Amino acid sequence: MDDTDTVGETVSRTSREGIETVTTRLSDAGEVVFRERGTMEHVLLLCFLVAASYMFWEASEFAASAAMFPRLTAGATIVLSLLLLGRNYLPGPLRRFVAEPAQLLGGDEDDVEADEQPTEQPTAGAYTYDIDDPRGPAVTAGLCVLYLGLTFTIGMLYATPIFVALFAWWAGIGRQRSIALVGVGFLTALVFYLVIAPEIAVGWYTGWEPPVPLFIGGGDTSAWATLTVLAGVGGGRTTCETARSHGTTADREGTTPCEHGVNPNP
Amino acid sequence: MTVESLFGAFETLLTFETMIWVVLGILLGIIVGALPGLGPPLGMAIILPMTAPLSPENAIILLIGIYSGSMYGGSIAAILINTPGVSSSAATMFDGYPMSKQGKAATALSISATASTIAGLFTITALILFSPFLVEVVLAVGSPERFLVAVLGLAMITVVTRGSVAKGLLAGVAGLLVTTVGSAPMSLDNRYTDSMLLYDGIDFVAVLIGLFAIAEMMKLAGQTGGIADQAVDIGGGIIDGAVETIKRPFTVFKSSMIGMIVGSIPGAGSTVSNFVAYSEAVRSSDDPDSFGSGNETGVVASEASNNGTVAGSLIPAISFGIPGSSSTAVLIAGLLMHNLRPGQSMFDPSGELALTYTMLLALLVGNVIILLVGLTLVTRLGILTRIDTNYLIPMVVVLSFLGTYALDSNPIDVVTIIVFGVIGFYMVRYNYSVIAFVLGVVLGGIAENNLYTSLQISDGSYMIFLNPIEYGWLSPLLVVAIVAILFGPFLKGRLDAYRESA
Repeated sequence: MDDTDTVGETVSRTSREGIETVTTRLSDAGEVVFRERGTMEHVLLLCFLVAASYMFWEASEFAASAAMFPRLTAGATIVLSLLLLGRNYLPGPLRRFVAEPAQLLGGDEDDVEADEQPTEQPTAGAYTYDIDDPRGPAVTAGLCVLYLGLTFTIGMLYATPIFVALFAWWAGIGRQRSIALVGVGFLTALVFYLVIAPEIAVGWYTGWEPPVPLFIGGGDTSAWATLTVLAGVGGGRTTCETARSHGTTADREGTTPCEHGVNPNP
Repeated sequence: MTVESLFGAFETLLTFETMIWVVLGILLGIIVGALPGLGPPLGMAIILPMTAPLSPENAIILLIGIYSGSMYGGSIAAILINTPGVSSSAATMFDGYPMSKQGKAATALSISATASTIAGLFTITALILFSPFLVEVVLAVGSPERFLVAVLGLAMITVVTRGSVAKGLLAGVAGLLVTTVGSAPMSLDNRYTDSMLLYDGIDFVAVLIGLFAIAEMMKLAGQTGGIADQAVDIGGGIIDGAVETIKRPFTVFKSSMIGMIVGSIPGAGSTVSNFVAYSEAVRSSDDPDSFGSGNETGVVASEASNNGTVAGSLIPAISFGIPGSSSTAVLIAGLLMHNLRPGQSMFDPSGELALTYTMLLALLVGNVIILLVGLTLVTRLGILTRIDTNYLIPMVVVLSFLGTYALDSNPIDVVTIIVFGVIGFYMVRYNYSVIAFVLGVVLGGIAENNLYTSLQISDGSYMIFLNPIEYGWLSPLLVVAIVAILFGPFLKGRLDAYRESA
């Protein structure tokens, strides 16, 4: 037991030291290139830059009318990303435009803060915050990716309780409460399965459909009817949705004509 | 015709089914508003995919009910545990929490409910009375002006929000860029659709869920606190709170007007109006020193302003499709999802005018429900502040995943919420305006359509936006306004520096 702990601790320490070394080297490299410590902001800007560059280049394949707007927006994204990445190289006035805040309502806000409260005042669109435990966001994102992977393999119906259980374990929630939470998660997925989206029981990539609980899969229509009434939207399942729920993999690959009008560019 | 639409709206609203959605929306709003870390955009974004089976009227009423209810709900956590449930209740903490410490929590909550209701009723009524004029304005603008109004909205957000203009602009254009994936709006050419899964483009509802739900849950997972450690004693008189509010009609009126006006500025939102109204209450008070230690006027001003913002933010949202806040961005997404286009059709008596009035009337009824819930359940509301965020995070993620997948059964949508969740998390972390990004995503289709139509009218000449003689004065004026907003602060700074040196 002690040996296992020691090995575990050693692995944990080694991996942590490895990550810290990589982070430090990246930050040092950032200092050389950007004249400031490299942060995730630089990674974000590089992502914008790469994506916009690809979209600008790819737009040359489109008809002129279809290429205009992507080129305009991709071009602006490239210029602004480059300006922000190279802000420490810019001359005075341009640097102020890129790096310094300017607010239409700044005067009012400053007055409030100065006169009344020292509290940080966020606005509707932009605010910053403190992170007490940096592992929290990373673990949550990691578990979301795992949830996605399970959704593609075993379907969301069973991926849901696994995700909730893993999160509860990580968050240190007590056993009984964890079980209750997992139960609520599974019940939520079950309601979705029965009322809104039966395809969540199928692994999208594998096409594998684990058996659903007996009381539902066994043809007990009363359970289905009860949940439908409880959800209050049972009548909303359209012919389209029913057809899709029994559709082939090709149907699920976005070629279905059954849309909810979600394309912002109809 | 307008009056007929109004009566039609009454008929629609006064049905049992519609009233159920009004009540449900308000109750859900109060809950998501009261839970620290959640908030109206998140609550609305999660519910959005689930509104697909509903009629457009009921779906929009449910969403707007959540928005309105959360404005009151946010005050619950602010008053009881000194943590605003939503950022628009931040100023409520200053006097609400001291009142709570003095054993007057019920009074403060009652003030909050009464002020929210009166402000909501007043501003929504004003908006309904103002709507014929709004109709004239909306019907008078053409494609060039609508494109420029969209750009103006983006420009205002980049300046209103904290951070550099370049960051705000980058967020806005990156949002616009997202909408270029999929079919081109006019020519129907496919763009960036290497995978068949992208034929319908990147679903903006999934983008919103990623930005508001997943990003917020990542943030919450890294934070501690914000939950009441033990039961909060809710003392004080409920009736006293209502009386204290009614005794301050001028503060309620002024704060709700501030909320409405500031709320109509894209990006400013209820957080800014909240602080502006509070500071105005302090400035105009005979006893400014008493603020911050339990002055009832502070709670009245703060809560009246944030509910007034709801009506204000609806003006640019339903007129031009420009969200005044994150919540109205989700509301616009709801309109588009149900095939309703913000703009002229929302004010056309033969179009969606009846729905617009139904929505506004539902808000009026919703405010009465806020009062009833606020006054009757006031002593029970403390329980909401004791829910651990560790229980909320997995449930919000689960609802986000399920809701997104239910949209279209397209796995790309689920990938989208994770990708934009991570992007949203870091955008907020490094002070990039998420609302500007959302505005870009929501406005992309509208902006491209109007740009394309404008250039067709002018045979491809961009002078359509600048030539007042041939195309009218409105477009050049909007261009001047955009330039002034973006570069005005810097020009002013240069001018001040020049004056000082001279």
